Amino acid sequence: MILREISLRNFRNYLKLNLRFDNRLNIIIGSNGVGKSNLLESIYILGFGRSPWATLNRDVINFNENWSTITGHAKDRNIEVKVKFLSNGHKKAEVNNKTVKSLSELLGLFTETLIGHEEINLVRGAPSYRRKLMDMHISQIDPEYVQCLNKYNKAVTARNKILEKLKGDGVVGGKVLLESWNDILVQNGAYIIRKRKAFLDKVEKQCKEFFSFLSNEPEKLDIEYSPSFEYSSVEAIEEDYHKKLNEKYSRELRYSNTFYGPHRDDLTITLDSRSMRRFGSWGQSRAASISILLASAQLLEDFYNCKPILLLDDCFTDLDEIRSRRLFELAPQIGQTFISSPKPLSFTQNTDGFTYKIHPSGVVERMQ
Amino acid sequence: MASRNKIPETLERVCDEFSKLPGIGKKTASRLAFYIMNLPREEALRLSESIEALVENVRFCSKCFNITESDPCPVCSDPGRDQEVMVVVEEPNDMFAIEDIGEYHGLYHILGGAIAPLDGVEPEDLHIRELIERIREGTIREVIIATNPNAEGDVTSVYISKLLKPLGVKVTRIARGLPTGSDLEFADKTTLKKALEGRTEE
Repeated sequence: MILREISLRNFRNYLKLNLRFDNRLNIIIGSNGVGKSNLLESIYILGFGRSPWATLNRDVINFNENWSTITGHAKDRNIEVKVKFLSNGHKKAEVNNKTVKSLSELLGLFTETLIGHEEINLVRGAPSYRRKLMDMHISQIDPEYVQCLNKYNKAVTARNKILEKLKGDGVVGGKVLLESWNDILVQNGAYIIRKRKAFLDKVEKQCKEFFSFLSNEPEKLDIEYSPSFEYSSVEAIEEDYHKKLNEKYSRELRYSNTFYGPHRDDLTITLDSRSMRRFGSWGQSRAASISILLASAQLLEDFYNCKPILLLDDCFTDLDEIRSRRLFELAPQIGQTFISSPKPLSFTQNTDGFTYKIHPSGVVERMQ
Repeated sequence: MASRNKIPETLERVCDEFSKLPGIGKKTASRLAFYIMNLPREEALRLSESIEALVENVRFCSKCFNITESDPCPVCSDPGRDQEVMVVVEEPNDMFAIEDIGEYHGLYHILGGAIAPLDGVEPEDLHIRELIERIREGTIREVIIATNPNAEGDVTSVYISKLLKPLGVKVTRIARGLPTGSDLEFADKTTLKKALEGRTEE
């Protein structure tokens, strides 16, 4: 869905703001701290019902007020989404003036992808960032995945506890109990592995295309799923997983820890067969993480059958002139794009789309 | 020094007892206590009598661990029920739910919870040993496990079936699927998926 209009009341530094947006491209410029990211944050909240950053619900409310609302109107469908924050930390959402039972009902209306500063961690950060990316995207299109993930995580904690007891005084139920948790671990773990594999197979091809377009050089980007144990085929995951657990039982017992399964998965991202994490430059890493996120945004489009919204929050840092220009060209082709930048982007002159300048006073001015 | 007026000790004792109950805080406890104090004498005493009767008369069935006023419970002592099938549930409420259908005429076994190491519930805290003893007696042919479809219920089901299968009894688990009487389009995706997986021949 395309976001045609947003109105903010008492949201962060905006007491009252109404803005109309272009279908393709919207650029928001302004000095540090004037509220560019706040604006993108409010759009994000329309899509997910929560802030992308770890903030308390009441933190988004203007300091002098005790409630805040964000209202967004879709262009292509007659839909209005409203998210309301109250000072007691509660929030609720309405779609066309009807309160939704759960905020998860907002998913799939404004399908958004945020590409901000921290997203470079997809390439440079710890494996947990890459697992989180997969989990976030798959959860959006498969509710059973969320349940399996919950059950799986419980099984890991339970197993570790039992392993610890087996090492010590033992536990009633002993190995049978451990084997029962193994069944839960394997059953849910295998589901997660299959889904992650399928997700990556779809993302990889698209991601490569985006990356080579951005870099404009014959560099070859590869993303490979690296599960924590080898399996012979997708059908045999359960069998091989069980085998691994049996083989490594004494090691797991020694450390009272679960070493195998989706919680130890990673992605190997390579550029011309060299590890990007170890050898890539900041610019290359940034271009790669942007490509991955753009590709997963495209995947959401296939699922929800509507174009995604891209929020590019100050993500031109580290990118050279060519890559910046190309990203600027590419993003609006994928979906409605919002770009925030502390300085005017040199290549944005003579482009169609809306440019807004935010003044330090909080006044938002449309530039011609 | 002027003496300060305090809540009488008897009233405070009642407040303390109430606030031990689940979901009741100090404020609610004192509101309840004041309310009872203002009740007509007979009505207030009826409350205390019913609590006394509950404690004195209701106990767990020594066979199936259902809550009952007579031991063994009416189900366990009814020779008319099918002595060869047994449904295993987590809580007495689950049993009453199945009993309400009126279609099941076999026996029950109530575990008293599910294995939940994160909440400190280990297998020895449940009535699993007693279940095995009942199966060892040899009359039961099929055990139907009806634990909840969450991680704890799943692992309890797997654990029990691992222990029971070597005894030569058939172990099954109830299906997951669509609630009847509602429209397909209103079912959540996971339920619909499970229903499709567990389809039966028409």
